Amino acid sequence: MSSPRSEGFWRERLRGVGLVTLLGLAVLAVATVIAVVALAVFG
Amino acid sequence: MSTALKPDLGDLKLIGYYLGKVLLGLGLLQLVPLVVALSLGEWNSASAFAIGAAIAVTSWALSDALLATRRALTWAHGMVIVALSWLLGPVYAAVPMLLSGRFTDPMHALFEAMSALTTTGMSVIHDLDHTPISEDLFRHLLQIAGGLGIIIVVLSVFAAGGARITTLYVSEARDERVLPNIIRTARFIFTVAGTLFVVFTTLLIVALIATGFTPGRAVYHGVNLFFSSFATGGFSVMQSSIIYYHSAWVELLVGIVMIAGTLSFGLHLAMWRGDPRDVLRHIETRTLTVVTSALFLLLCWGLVRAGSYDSVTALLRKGLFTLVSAASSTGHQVNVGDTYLYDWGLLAPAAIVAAMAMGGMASSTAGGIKAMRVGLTFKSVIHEIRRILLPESALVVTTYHAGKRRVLRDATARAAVIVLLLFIASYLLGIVTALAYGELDLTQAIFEAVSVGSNIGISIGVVNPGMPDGLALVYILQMWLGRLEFVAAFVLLGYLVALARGRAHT
Repeated sequence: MSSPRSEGFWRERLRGVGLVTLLGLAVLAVATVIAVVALAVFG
Repeated sequence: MSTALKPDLGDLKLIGYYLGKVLLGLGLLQLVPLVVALSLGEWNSASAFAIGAAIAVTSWALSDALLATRRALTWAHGMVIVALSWLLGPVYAAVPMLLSGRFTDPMHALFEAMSALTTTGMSVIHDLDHTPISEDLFRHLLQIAGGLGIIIVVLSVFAAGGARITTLYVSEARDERVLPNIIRTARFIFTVAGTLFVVFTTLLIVALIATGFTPGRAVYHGVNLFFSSFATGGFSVMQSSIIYYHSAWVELLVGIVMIAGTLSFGLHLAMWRGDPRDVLRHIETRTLTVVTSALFLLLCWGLVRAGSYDSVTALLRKGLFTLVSAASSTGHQVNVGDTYLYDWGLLAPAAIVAAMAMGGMASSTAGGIKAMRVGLTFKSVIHEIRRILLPESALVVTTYHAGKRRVLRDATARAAVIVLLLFIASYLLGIVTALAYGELDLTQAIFEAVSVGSNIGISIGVVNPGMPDGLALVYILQMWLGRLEFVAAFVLLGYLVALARGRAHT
């Protein structure tokens, strides 16, 4: 972990928050595809 | 069979000394809602927190004065301290809850406190919608403290010496040290929680104001929503949980925070360091991806077949949210309890029960059997099949990725399967007890027992303020065992046996 005065301090935090958000959106995207397929096949 | 050594007075003093530190933490935690209560003029709540904090701090002062010892902490001590902390902690946390007058039955106050600290999130509180702000804040603070690990929270602040608290960290069902030094690990956990708190609470506040909340109420709801979501706890400010907000943005933000809560802190570190490849090839990521995708397909099939929903939006907002809430072990709800019973058919609730049983990742704030154990059990089944099919002379090696490439050893596989079986035994205990009361059907009994035993919190309606004390007691036991993942509880049991029948020191 970087110290507050080092260059990577904000980059680490931005990366952590950004990747968690991306992961959440990826889950939503995959689930949308599954839901569309499920409605088409079982609906 | 060799007989265990009988613990002597020095062992008991050491255990009491560390328990006192945990109680100090719980006492100081109550100062936050005390200050809020005083500033808002919630005098009844303020007196409850003042008495609760005084009892906890006095207990610490007594233990510190009478039990201070230089004896070194062993693994057995660590396990016993952790098991007792998770029993005593809820008892002390239940004191202000009972004094507040929200619970007429002490057993229900204990249930609420255990549910909060173990991040289960089921509630038996009377009239939640009109609970004073300070009391609501206390329930949510207990969840975030329990989610991050009450022992690590307290001892990394108050205890000196990293080597000693490493024992306690591992005993608290956290078998993966994120960084080599335990204090740095604790600091990293707090930093991740703090950073996500700032970003996502702000976004939640904006989303709530956009739905018509006043700024003050948006802050109150936003802060509590973050605490209960990142802790994968599932408590809510309103009885109707997330349905209350009627906002897709709030659901999306809460969904992302729940996913963040279910990620192990090791994977958070990999993401902070910019190594998403480490996340993608980790056995827990792969297990969760495969299992939850299959379960979501099953859930959609069940919901469409039962005629519950007929649009992608409804499947996502009702189905996916509930599945993420279950698999992350949070327990936030976007349906009323009866919905699962009367409107979802049988297949969809079965998918939710399976997700609740598995839970999230090891070394995260999540509960359940854990994706790591499910993945290792699957790998060991494949390993055995390969061993049988290949020639006897063939050397069968199975590997998995968890931080680095590891060889699956018999002891690792056996430990995973044993804990998995113990979770199933815990579910059976809850199911049989619920059925013994004769008022519930099998679906209700299974759903609630798995939800409680995995520290999830999604309720089908069995847990309520009118629940019998006997059932509440069994559910309290299930929550405690689930949070400790059994090992520390069994060590405590062994310790008590040794105390009664052990061999004296020579």
